[in-house]
Amino acid sequence: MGFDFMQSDLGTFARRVCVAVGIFALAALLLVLLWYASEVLLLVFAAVLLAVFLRGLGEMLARLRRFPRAGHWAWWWRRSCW
Amino acid sequence: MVVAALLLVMTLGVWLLAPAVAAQTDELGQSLAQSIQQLGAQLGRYRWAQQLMAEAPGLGEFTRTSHLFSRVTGLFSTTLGVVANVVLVAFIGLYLAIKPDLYMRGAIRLLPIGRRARMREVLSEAGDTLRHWLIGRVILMLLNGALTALGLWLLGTPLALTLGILTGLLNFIPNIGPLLAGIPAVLIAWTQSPTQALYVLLLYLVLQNLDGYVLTPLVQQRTVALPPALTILAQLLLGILAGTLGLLLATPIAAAALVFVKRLYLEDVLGDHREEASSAGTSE
Repeated sequence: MGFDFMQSDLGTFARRVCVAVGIFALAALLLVLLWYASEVLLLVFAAVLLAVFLRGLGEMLARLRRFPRAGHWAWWWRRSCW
Repeated sequence: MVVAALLLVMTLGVWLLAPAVAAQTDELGQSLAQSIQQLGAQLGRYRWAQQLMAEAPGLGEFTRTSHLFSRVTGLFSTTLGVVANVVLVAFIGLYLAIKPDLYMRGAIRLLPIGRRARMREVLSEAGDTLRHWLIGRVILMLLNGALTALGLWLLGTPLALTLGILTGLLNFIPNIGPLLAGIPAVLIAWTQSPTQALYVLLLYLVLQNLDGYVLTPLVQQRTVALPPALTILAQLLLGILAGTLGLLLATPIAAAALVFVKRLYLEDVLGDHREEASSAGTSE
């Protein structure tokens, strides 16, 4: 009975150690990946920032000038010509 | 369509301004190298300065042979890489700006179904925060650039417009940018006279205080206010980890990260739904 208990306890402990080592290894791998890809990630963030800026400026201009959305060009052109 | 037209106008503007700005930048480079040499020669007359230069060889090199300038230009020596990065960022940014929903939907579909609605909400809020931060920053950049150019022009400093543009651009980096912008202006003024350099230094100090105590709080009332210590910490951390690009993007990254931490960690994990926690750094 005692032996079984020890056996199961050791099994649980080993499983926990494996999980902990796995998590640690994954975290380390993620950190290494982030370290090597940091420049690319920063460039992607810069692109997102540029997109936010362009989108914001575009929406502001569209509100100010009542610019048409895509597909409404013909209507807008006819209205501004006549 | 508006975004494409806007980008076209901006590209045309840059295309037309580029030759004049390039010529003035060349002139700025030559003036800076000259002023550094002049500063070295003037400092070399004093005993304390000679001792200081002897004890700190880096400083001696800096003033003697304008190594700083060659190092600064060395930053841009990998022109092809920088141009490639700029083009890449411009293209990705343009495609993201034209159809942001397409990419956001794609990214959200990678998440478990139950978490998608919440993630969409948080991403939208992060986007709004970034937009407000950018609006505030652009306003401050324009104000600081214009005031600096005007002040330098009134003081009779050469290359006032270029230095104003440089100050405006460097104001993209809060706290550190204006300090960096002051260095070339003071060095250029030094070529005229030390008194002129002192006036320029005073101008930068006055404008820095005006920015810190009047302009920034006014603009942040309607845009995004980030805790100053957090901004500096983010700049320090990303500056060390990722260099110039990290320093440049540290503040917007901190602004976006703050939203994610407040929404996904404080609210969703810890269950803290207080008003304080949900303000997410914005004070509109």
